[in-house]
Amino acid sequence: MTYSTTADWALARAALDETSTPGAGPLSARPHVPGEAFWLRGEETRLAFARFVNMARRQRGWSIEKLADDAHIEVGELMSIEQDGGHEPELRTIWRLSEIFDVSQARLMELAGLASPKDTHAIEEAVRYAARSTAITALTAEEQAAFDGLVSVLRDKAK
Amino acid sequence: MTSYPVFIIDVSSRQPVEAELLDMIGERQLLDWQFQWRRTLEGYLRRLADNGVTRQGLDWPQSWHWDWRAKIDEVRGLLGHTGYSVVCRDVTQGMMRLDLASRMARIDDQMGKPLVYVDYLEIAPWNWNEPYADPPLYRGIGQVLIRTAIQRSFDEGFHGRVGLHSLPQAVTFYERCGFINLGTNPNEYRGLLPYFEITTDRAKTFL
Amino acid sequence: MSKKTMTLNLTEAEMSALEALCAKKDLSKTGLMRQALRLYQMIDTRVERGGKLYFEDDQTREKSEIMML
Repeated sequence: MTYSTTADWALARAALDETSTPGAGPLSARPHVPGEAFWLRGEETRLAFARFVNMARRQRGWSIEKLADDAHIEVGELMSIEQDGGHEPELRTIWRLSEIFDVSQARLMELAGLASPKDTHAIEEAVRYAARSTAITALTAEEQAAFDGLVSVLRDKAK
Repeated sequence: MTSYPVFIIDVSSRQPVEAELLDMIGERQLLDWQFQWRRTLEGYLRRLADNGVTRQGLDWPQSWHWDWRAKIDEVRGLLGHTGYSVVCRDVTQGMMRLDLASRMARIDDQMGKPLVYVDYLEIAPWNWNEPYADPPLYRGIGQVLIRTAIQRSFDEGFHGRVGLHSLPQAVTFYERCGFINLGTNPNEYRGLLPYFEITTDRAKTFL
Repeated sequence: MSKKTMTLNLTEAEMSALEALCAKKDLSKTGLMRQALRLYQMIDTRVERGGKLYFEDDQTREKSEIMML
């Protein structure tokens, strides 16, 4: 029982002229380019997720406690989400937040780094919108515009 | 870890060159994947962007979103899964993850019998033969990996039976290896991937 | 790879079931027990990570839960 192969075997198989690229496993969806977007994962998008939660909450004039209460989430987790970039949110929390802020759960999960982006272009857009915001108490006009853009990406159901 | 000498074809010289088959996917392979495979892949994705990705068909890298690090983390410590890789000139050229326990054969004559199932098989982007890619550097890596799956199947007592779901781009490849195309199933992979299986006789021919 | 030997104490019914499965799956007793161990470990790990193991009825798509921690 040997796993080694010979040069002859390699040549014989090559003579059968395989022109296709081998591969087995789940099919990737059509990639959205540019290629840079495809490096987006985890930490980069999580900052955008934190900004979104923060802005969405403030836009409604809610304190962290109120959001935690209404969404049935732990205050501690909410604080980690908004302030600790390394914190990986729980699935259930994402679901709750997507419900209360009326955005796509799938998209929010991708932004939070819990799922690979299916539409990397959209996620990249989301990250850009989030980057335009700054952390002050009330949303400025610029922040509002950025927030509106971010929400529209997150509300957009996967095509 | 065990390493076996194998041969793949250097496309430019059309000659067989020595490579190694490793019975694992280790940190070295994952680093090659992360920094070398992904770099080439990014180039291809940019190229597709510049030329406009076609709206029809499936002319994009069909495994571009695979995260091999996650795939290996998933099965670390599990007896029922194993991985193999092919290395040539110190660079990982192909990888494959197998399921040794949870899948059964579907072809009538071997229905319900255990087989080796290929969870994932991918070769390095610089070896792809696709319109958006540069000419491949090596051929025959997929052959070595499939042969390995078959050999492992015999070693496990599964008499060479192997099953897998093929990426659309690879359908001809598996047909030429002697696998039987059992078609797609709407309840699996959203009906996008045909299931292939090889019988004992055909497996013996392939070896 | 070095192997260890173990003796199993099975009832007649268990031995019978083992032999029947071996015939059906065309595996040796060792092969079959190896498959059983692999599967058990896979299931245990997935359930531990928060998954559930279900059987799904082909026709009705109804799920029946069969394994919990």
